[in-house]
Amino acid sequence: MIKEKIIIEVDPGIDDSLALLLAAKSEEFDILGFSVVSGNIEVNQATLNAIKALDMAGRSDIAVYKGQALPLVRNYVDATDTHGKDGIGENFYQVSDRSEKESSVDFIIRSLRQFPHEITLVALGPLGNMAVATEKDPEAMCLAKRILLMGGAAKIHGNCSPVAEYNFWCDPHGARRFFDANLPNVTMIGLDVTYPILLTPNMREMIKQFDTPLSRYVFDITQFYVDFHWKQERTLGCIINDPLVIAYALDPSLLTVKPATVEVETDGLAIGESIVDFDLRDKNRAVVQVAMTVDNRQFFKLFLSRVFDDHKEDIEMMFRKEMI
Amino acid sequence: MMNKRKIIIDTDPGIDDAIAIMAAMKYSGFEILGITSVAGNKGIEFTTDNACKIVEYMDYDCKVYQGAYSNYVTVKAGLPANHQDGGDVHGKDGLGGANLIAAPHRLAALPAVDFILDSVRKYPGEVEIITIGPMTNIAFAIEHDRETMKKVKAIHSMGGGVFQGNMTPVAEFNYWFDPEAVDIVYSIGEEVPITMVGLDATHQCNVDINDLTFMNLAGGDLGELIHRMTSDYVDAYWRQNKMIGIVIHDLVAVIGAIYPEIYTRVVFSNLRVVTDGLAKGQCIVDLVDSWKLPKNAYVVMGVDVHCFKQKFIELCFGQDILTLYDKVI
Repeated sequence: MIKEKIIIEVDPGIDDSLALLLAAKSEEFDILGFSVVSGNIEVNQATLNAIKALDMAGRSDIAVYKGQALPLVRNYVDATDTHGKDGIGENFYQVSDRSEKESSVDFIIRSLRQFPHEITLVALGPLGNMAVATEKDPEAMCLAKRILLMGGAAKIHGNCSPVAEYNFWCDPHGARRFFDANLPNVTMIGLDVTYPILLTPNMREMIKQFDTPLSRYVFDITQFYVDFHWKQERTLGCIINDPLVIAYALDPSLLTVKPATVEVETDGLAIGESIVDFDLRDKNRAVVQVAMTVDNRQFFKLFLSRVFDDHKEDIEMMFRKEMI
Repeated sequence: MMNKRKIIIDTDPGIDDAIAIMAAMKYSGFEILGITSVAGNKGIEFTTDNACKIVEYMDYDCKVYQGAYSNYVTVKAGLPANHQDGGDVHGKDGLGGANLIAAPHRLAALPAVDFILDSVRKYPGEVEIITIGPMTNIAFAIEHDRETMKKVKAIHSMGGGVFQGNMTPVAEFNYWFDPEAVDIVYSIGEEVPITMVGLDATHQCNVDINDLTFMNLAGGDLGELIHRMTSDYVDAYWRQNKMIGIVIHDLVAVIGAIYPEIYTRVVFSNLRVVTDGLAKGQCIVDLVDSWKLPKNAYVVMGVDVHCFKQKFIELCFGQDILTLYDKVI
C-alpha cells in the first residue's frame, strides 16, 4: 500500500485529541509529523496533550513540532471553558515534552519541498501558523497535494458569535492572510458539517464498556466536554469537530463540497466570520471547496471502528441494533 | 375531586421495582393503599427493607406489608427459603447502591395476604393490584378467599413472556420463580382482567444512556438517583445482553397501568403456565385462539417505546423537562 503523506496541525483540545487518535490509528497515512499551535489551549500544554494522545494510540514514534504561540494580531483567548484547564477535560496527565527543536513552520516548508505534491496538509487549529509559513515560503505551500481546514461557518450559526467559528475567531488575521494567499487545493470543513458530529452518551457508554486504557482515556477526556455542552447549549453529548477532517482525508464520500471563495472579517461585530461566496464574484480569488453536507453515521462507523479496532464486532453490532 | 384509583403494589425491590414504585407514587391519579413485599430479586428481609426505604424516600403516606419469604411450594411446605434470588444484578442491597435511608417504621404489623384481602373487602370492585415480583402473595390471597379476590378490579402483572425468556430460554424470572402462584392467579382471569406485561413488551422499551444521562442532568434529585441506582445495571446489560442501556421491566407495567395508550398491541388470550420440567415458568399463550379455551389474560405484545419514555419523563419530572427532552433527544 502506498501510504498518504500527511502533516496535521492541532491545538489539543479534546476533539483534536480524538483526531490525533484517528490519524495515528489509520494505516493509510504516513504521518510526517504533528504541528502544534495555541488555540483551545496554549501551545506548551497543547504539545503535551498531543504527545499524550500519541502515547495512547501507541504511536510515540511520530514527531511533534511546536508552532505559533499567539494570534498574529489579536489578544489570545483560549477555549479552556470548553476543554478544561489542561485542554483535555482536566485529567492533568503527567507527560514529558519530547517535541522537536525545529519549528513547525520550518518543518512544514522543508517537508513540502522534499515531497512536492505528495503531502496532505491538515489544519485543525487557528490559522496563524499556516499564514506565517505561507508568507515565509508561498511557493512551498503551493506544493501541498491538498490543504484541509477545520474552521469557519458558511450557512450556519457560529460558536463564538452568531457568525464566527472559534478557529477563525481566535486568530482572524491568521485566517484572513491564509485565504488571501490564494493557495490551491484548499477545502474548508466548518460548522456546517461538524454540528451533526455528536458523540452521544450511548456511544460514550459503549466506549466505557470496552474497558481498555485507550477507551478509558477517551471516556475521561470527553466527560468535561459533555458537561460543557449541556451547560452551555443543552446539547446531550459532545460535538467532535476535528476528527471529521481526518475521516474525510480517508473517505471523501463523507462530505459533499461546493466551490466558493472565502474571506475572513478581522474587525467589528463580525470579527472572525468566514464570508463564503458561492457565486464566486471575485475572479481573482482562489476557489476553495466548502463542505456543506455530511454522512454522520458513516463518520462514526469509521471513527469508532478505527480508534477501537479491537472492538470492531461490538461496534458493528451496536450499529446494527441501532443502539448508536 | 375525581376518585383516585385504589392501588396495591406487590413487589420485590429490586432496582426496576424501585423506579416503577417511584413513578407510581408520582401519579396523582393513584391512591396507593399499601406496598406488599415478596421474595424474588432478593430475600424477603431485603425486599421489605427496600420497600420501606422507597416509601420513605418518596415520603408517601402508606405502609409496607411483609409477604411470602419464598415461593408458593416452599412456603406451603413450611420449608426454609432456599431459593436462588436475582443474584447481584441488583447490587448487594438490591438497590444498586442507591444508599437510601432505612425506614423500619414504614413496616406495618399486618401480613401482606391479610392486607390485600382486607383492602378488597373494604373496597370491593375498586382495588387494582400491580404485581411486579413473583405472584406468591396474590396466590395465597386467592387460596384463602377466592370470592373476595374475584372482586379485585384488575391485575397488572409484570412477568412472563411469549417468545422470550431471561432465566431460561423460555421463562422470565418472576414467573419462573413461582410458576404455581402464576397458575393460581390466572385461574381468576375470567373474572378479573389480568394484563400481562411480559418480556415481549418490556424488551421493546430500552431506556438508553442518552435517556439516563438526560435524567441525571435535567431530572433533579430523582433523576440523579435513577442514574446512580442503574449504573451497575447498565454494566450488566452490556455484559449479558450487549445492550447500551437497560430495560426497566416493572416500569413498563406501571406506566402502562396509568397510560394504557402506550400499548400498541394487546391480545386477549388463553394463558397457561408450565410448572415443572425443562420449560418451568414458561407461559403457553394461545395468541391465535386455536384452542378456543376461555381467555384469561390480556397479553401485551406491542409498546410505543417513545410514548412510554415521554410519559415516564413527564410523570417523574414534569412538562417543562419533557419539552426539553423532546428537544435534545
